[in-house]
Amino acid sequence: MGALLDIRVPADDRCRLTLVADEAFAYLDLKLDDMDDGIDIPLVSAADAFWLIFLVSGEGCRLSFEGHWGANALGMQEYQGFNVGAGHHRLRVSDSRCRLQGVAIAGQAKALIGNDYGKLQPLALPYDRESSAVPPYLPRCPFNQKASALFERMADIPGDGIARLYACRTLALDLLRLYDTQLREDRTTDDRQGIALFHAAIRHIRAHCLDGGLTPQLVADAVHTSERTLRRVFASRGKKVIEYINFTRLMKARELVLLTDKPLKEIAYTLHYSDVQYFIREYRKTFNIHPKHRMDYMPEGFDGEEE
Amino acid sequence: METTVTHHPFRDITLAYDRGKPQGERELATLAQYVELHDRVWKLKVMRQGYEPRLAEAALRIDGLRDSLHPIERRVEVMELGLGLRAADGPPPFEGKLTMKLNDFYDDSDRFNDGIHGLYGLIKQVTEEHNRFLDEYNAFDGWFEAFNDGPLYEIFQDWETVSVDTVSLDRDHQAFLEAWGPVWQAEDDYFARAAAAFAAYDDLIRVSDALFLRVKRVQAALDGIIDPSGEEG
Repeated sequence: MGALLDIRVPADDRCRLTLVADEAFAYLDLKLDDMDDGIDIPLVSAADAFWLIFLVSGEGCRLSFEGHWGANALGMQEYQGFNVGAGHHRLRVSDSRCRLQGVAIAGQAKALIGNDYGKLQPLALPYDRESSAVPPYLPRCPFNQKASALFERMADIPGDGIARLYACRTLALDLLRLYDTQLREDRTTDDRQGIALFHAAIRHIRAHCLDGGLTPQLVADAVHTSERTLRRVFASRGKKVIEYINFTRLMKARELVLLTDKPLKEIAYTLHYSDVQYFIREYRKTFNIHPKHRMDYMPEGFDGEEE
Repeated sequence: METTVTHHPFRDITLAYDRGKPQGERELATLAQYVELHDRVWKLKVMRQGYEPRLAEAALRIDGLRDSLHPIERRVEVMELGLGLRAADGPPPFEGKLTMKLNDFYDDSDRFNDGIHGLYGLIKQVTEEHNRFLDEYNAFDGWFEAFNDGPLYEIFQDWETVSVDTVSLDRDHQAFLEAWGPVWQAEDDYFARAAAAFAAYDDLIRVSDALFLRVKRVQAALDGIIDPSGEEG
């Protein structure tokens, strides 16, 4: 189990946390900004947000600073006093792909951890030290409940300053591992949803490949998703939606060729091929055999009965 | 997740289960059908492999008989010309006296007739096997489509409630399709070879029937000039 935290604060005042645990990883982009949009959620102080950053940057993790702002924001003075930006700084928190963002003002903060699998996971910081309840805006998922419990335990660790932070290190790494598990679960959920979508799409394609004019957009509409999502689901299997549509159409052609005595021209038109030669070329390319070969061919007058 | 491997002669089935979720009857039935899918593909494969040697033998014998017709056809043609049953298309193929051993001709014809009669039983068997395989193939085709669009589709949609991990099921299903590809191709090849053999048999019967009529005409003409003792008249 490897865990890594990489904090980079480039010159543009952005701070990126990269959480790495096993194969899962997450980004947390922090930026000082006078932003007006976003969701203000009473949570913890800005100092506590950085406290968290420091916590998870313990042994086995990497901490690096770039640019002038990082040194100021995350300097030792701030670590020791937990007073980063007290009462003044606004902290913009967003994931690396900017799907969601929040605002952390002094006394108010929301930390969101995004990841590469399309989910953005709110970190359940202990917004109310007196209560162990999960904040109402957070999903009541096991992750948030466990994360809350971890933060509670951190808060209960006696001591102050660096000594207390080091004492919290193990718990912080537990949080990383917890998050790693959550990432995996999120990814598995995504996979299952993608699989369900894929099978729904191919069923629709099989049922409607004779309709003519079937496009990826129509398939996406039929399975209630976006064309982009559908393309992504197919691409994850090394396929293109349009290729699958064409292949299914040819499979239907094969069925008609082998099990009926319809002329090839008629089959080509049934499947909306405007040119029978083009149909034959595509058929041969796919099945490596000319469509004139028909399965139902029997010796003339031969029905298996003794003559 | 608990991973289970079901050993199957076609291919091993590897699925993962969340044992914390109960397995409903529908899920159990679908997974049983998933195993049945393997059974059916395996059965088709074994059937075809059993039939292929006889199909190959039939194709070979048809080709051999077709080849053996050529010398008979040439002799009949010469005799037709010699007996005046047909006019030469071009200049006469020969001038002067022609001596032909009729016994060789009769021997070739007898051998051919024996071959055709011997082939009939084999063709009958190959045809019956082909029909059996075709029935099985068509039955499987319908079953597979219904299973694919019905229970299998539904289990993937029910990923939240089913015990089987649909990621593992999908992965296994893809592996099944990959394993099935060459089998499916071999079935196509079998049908193509069977069609070619049946067409060749038809051609053989058509050509030999036509030749038989010509032989009868030659025989009738020969009967007029050859006495039963075999002495030239």
